[in-house]
Amino acid sequence: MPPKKKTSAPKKSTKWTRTQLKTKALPISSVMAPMHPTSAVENDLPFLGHARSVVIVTTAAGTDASNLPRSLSQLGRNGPSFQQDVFEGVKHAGYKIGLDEIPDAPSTLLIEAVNVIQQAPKA
Amino acid sequence: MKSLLMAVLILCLPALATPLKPVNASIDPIDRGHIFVLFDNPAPTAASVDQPGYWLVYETTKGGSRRVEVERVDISDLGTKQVGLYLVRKIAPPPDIKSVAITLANQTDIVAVPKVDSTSGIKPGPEVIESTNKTDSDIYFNGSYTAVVGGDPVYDIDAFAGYMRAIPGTDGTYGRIGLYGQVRTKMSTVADPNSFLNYLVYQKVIWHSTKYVQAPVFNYRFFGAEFDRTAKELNLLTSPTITIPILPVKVPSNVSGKIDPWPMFNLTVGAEFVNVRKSVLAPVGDWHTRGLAGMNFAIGYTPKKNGFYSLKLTSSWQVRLPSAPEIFYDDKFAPIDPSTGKKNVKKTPPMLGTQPRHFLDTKVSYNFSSWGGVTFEHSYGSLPPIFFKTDQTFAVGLSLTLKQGDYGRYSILKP
Repeated sequence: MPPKKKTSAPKKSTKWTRTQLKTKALPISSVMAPMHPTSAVENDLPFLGHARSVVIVTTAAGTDASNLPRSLSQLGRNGPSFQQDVFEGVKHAGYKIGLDEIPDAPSTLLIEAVNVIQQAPKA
Repeated sequence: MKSLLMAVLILCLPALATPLKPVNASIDPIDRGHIFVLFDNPAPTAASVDQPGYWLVYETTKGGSRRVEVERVDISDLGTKQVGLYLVRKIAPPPDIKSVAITLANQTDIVAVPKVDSTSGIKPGPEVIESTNKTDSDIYFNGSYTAVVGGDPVYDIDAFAGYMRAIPGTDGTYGRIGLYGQVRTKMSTVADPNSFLNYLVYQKVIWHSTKYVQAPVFNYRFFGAEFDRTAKELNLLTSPTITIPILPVKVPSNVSGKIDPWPMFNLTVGAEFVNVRKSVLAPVGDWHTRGLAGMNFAIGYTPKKNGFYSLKLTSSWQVRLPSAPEIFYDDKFAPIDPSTGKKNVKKTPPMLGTQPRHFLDTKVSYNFSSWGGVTFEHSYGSLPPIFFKTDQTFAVGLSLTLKQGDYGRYSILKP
């Protein structure tokens, strides 16, 4: 009688399913919370800076930093809506910028918006 | 034989590899000895960027140009195609700094990074720059000539200019005001505009964006006029509308830039309160209301190759529902010219009615370069103030575009 083959238990996938990922996603308010002027020492910096600008711009564009070289048109974003979301993000972080200073043309790259707002001074 | 093939492959690989594409560089405003460099797809490998000796950084100040050595390269953000350069000293601050030129020269590539200049920050860019298409334009002109089988040739002129700024003395919290003007010629046997629209506009973005619905935009054209070429029709109007941008398909991470624009809808609903001041037929002096609804859609493919820059489809539909009889012209009722046996469109009689006024416009634009191309257009329906019904028109024309600064407004101002 041939020896019985060992049947290994089915491997558990280490990848998260879409549902699992969704449950772990942070709401926008949580993403933005650490940038509130009352919440971190980092907010003593004189300018908004690159890292926080990337978070604000990509959150407003509904995407992540891998799409920084893309334009608003390539991401299907409406200019004025994006501009207002960035404006609110900068204000929320405790810095100041004029609405018109934030570029919102369809050809505007996300990184161009980052370049502009990263130099926003403290409110 | 196998080893020979491997050797040839290894020697050829660098030549076959896609060149690096740096798209942007900026100086950290908090630490001016730190420069961020962003690459486009494909993301650079660590080995191609991680050596300080690969980077040549030159700053130009009022006193001249000089090299700034790179001390360390930070590749911890390479997943998002970003590289940090830490310099041995800080870049000069404004107003001394004129520009910073960066070149990456590794073992296989020599590529220049877009220049950083003193205005790539809080100050706005140049006032008038090249635009790629109509939706990206604040100032736009498009003209075409159409031969009509069994009819007169038709000129088509479409031009507009819009300018919006934050309410003076504010940072934009309370919205913006601006001016908008549009000239449109349809079904004209001479190249002479027959429809003018001018508005003073207030604009405010309300609410905030969600996953598929972006922040709605409230537009109030608080005073405007629509009039025809001969000024026989003149309407004053005030019109609140809301535009809701909708993203039907979520954009994936690391998306290719070739789909441009990404599929997008703008839904517009509102009303136009109209006071007819002059008309050849309609009652004058009374106010009436037009319900207004509209939708536009855009999608495109932009390979940016020589001779094939982009192909784009845009389509817009709008309907006006007048509450009182309004003027319209329909060339179905044009008299036949006995001398030619053809319809004399110029003598189409004006009529009155309260029927819905649709206007559908679909355009396919092929751009051979970033600034020019050919447009094929199909339109149907009618526009105020004279509502001259355009019956299934196909047109082809050349287009040339320029835009002013950063303030594109077209998708909001026109439903």
